[in-house]
Amino acid sequence: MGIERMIKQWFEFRRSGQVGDEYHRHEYRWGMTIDLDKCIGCNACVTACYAENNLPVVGKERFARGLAMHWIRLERYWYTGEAGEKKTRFSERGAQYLPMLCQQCEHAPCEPVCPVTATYHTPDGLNAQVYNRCIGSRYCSNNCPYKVRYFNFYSYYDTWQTPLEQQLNPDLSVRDKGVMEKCTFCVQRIRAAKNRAKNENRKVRDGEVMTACQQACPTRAIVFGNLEDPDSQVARSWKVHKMAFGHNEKKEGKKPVRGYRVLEELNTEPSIQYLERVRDTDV
Amino acid sequence: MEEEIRKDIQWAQINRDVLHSMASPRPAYWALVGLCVAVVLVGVYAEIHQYRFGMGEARLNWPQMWGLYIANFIFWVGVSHAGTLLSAALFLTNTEWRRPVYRSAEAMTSVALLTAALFPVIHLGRVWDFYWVLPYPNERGLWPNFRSPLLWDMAAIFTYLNSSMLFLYYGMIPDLAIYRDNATGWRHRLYGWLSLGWMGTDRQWRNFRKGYLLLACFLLPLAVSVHSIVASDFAMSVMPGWHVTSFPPYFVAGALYSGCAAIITLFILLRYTFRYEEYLTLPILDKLCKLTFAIAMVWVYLNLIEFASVWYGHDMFEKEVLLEKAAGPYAPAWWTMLILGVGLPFTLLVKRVRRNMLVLLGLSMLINIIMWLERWMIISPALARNHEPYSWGYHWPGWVELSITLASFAWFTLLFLVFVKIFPSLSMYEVKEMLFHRRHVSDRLVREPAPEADSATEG
Amino acid sequence: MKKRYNLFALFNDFDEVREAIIELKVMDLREGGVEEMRMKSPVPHPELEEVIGARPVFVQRFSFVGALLGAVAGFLLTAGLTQSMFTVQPQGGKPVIPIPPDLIIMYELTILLGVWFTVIGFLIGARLPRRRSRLYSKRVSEDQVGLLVEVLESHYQKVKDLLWRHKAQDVLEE
Repeated sequence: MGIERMIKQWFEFRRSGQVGDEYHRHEYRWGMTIDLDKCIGCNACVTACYAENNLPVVGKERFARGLAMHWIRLERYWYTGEAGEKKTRFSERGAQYLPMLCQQCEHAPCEPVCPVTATYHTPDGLNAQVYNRCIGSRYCSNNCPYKVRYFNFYSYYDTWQTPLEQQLNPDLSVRDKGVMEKCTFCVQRIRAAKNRAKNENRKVRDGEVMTACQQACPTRAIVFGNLEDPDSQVARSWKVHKMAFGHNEKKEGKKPVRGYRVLEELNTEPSIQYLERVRDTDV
Repeated sequence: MEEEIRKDIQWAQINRDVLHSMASPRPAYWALVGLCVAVVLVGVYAEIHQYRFGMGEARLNWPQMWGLYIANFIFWVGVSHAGTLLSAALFLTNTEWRRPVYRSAEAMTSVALLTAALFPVIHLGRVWDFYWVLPYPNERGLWPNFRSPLLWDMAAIFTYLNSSMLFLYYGMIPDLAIYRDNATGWRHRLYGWLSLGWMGTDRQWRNFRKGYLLLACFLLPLAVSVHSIVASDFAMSVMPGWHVTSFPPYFVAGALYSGCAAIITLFILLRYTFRYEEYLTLPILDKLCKLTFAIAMVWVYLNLIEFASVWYGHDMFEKEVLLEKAAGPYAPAWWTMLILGVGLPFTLLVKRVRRNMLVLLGLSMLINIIMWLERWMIISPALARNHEPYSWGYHWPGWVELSITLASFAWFTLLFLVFVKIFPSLSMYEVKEMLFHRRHVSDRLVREPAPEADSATEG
Repeated sequence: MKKRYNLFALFNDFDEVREAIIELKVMDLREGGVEEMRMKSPVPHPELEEVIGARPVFVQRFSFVGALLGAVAGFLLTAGLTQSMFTVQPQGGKPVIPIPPDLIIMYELTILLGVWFTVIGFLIGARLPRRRSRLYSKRVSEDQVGLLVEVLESHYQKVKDLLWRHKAQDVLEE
């Protein structure tokens, strides 16, 4: 019986502290910065994700029904004028792009609602999804404010016709129907890099792990890395934009920098920082 | 004042009347059973189809991950609530008119829960792994996640199903003994087993009364907790339109509202089918209607609270959901639900309505349809609008969801039909007790000389 | 050991039974002979039960123990087995052993075990299930009240006469 462990964990994890306090002992915490000023909306990240993570292409009809499985999606928003201004159907300067993927929240609303613990938080700050344990209650997707969890409404493993199955990534599984899935920050690449580092008796170097979306981005709008390493590119960008866990734009007041996290007011503590787009008219 | 029950009914007559309800069924019964089985089979076919091809066949999508299955779940759990209210709460407050009604109401509770319990399973993406939510020891040390409101649901529904069925059976033991005494052959053996050798000795009655009181004390807070927990599935989320503090009482009130309406429906049907006119009397129906009205007003008030708090809370997402309900594609259903749900109970204020069986039958069934709509309106319009405008979308049920929904109504009817034929749908000993109390207590209070017929009735 | 007889009389209503019981009690006080009395009735009659002899009921103790066990079991199941053995990863920033959800499970298990123990307590208290005694009539479950008297051989005839005198409809014996 776990009474001894119960008491131990009671004292260890009951205290309240800084967000993600429990993980400070860990040497990695994966984070990201996406610079919207650099994003040109080319969808290369989406394509790369489909190739890397064995995402099924559901077809036109099912896409229209809302069954697409894009772990990262490029949202387009059109500025159509504030209230009182003259309304326009499309903004003159084109759309605003927002690449939306799993925010790997430190306080993820999707995690505690899973009835079978199929989703949990790893010590290195990832929001993990265990396909084998998932029974498909779909509560996590309902409770995700970013709506980045996708459900296998159908089986797609037989949609890759010969020889297309040859291009499937062997490093991760092909999911069957009835299972929830979402962006993993390319956990298979993180794993490989960690193993390599362990064999060579060192830590993972900055830039050693690149997510597929980051790799494919022609303008280098996406930066990915270890937030625990103060010299990493992503940690420096967080610092420059005064972004940190436990901070909230609304609480702190408007900061004079571009960094923000989506829906910060929900206190989900996302691990992805977005950098606002700067229009020349705003400057 | 009108009497709730005639004082001079012979006790033996009660036995005869109720035993008559268990007699070999008429052809109409078999026709109804056949119809129900057919509809259930259509639902089973739909479920097999969904199992083979995936949840996409239910026309669910992103972001509408939940649909009619969860709405049905809330609806059936809701229907089950009034039985416990009527039985336990009115028992604890010593309300005499509960006695002829409570057995069928409790049966409705258990049967509705057996229907409700199907839906979380039907709704799963991987139905074949449904038992993973149960906390059973296994060699891998895997356990369910007790932080999830779904697990609270599981615990609450399991407890409620267990307790309400035990409560139903417990209260039935003396009646089963009556069945045993009047049956022959295998029926005599079966009811002999079921009645546990009950003989009505003073020791048995003494323990029985105490146990019944204790069970009622357990059941009442349990019933309230069950629908609050079902409401927690929504209230504990971060979604606008669901993250509402008043949801638990709102759900409980809605549950009792639809449950009371369902009791009225069953009351009228039982009264007509089994010729229970002597027991399920009009004054009792009148009181049931008043109770329904009172509960409906609680529900109306909690509706207003919900809108008011959204309005004054001034959260743009919450407002968006409210506007979506009022002006989006679901608006016709929402307005129907709101206008009829608020308006219909007011007709119960008219005495002529409370005394008209046909009108009441239609009214109570209509109220249940309205309350079913209400459950759907909790789910789909709220999921249609969320924090992420890119994902906004709608869900319209397809044939799979609709036939499973219809099948659940048939399944409920089927189980209830089976129940009334093998178990007493009216509590014989409680009605006798009611008569006994009435005759003795009221006579003594009024100090009127016992009429001639009176002394004969006990014999 | 003296030989005993069981007499089982059926009466038309509670008033007649009460008269019979009182007279039997009086007789028993004067000269003994009545070992035990039991009433078998279609509805409970608490006052007459008192007249026969008030006996304490212990069902509530079972309920209490059951409820207590349920609460403890709920906590051990959630915090002890599950959260400290399996779900040790914090989820959504919640502590490993979160109190509010555990309270809900404890609440439900309190009621579940409380209900089960109440039913078990009732079965033990009422000595059920059991075989039906021969001294029983189907009239008891209908509208007549039965009185079971255990008498010594010496008083057998006297009690039997007494029962008949009090308008007993039928007297069975064993």
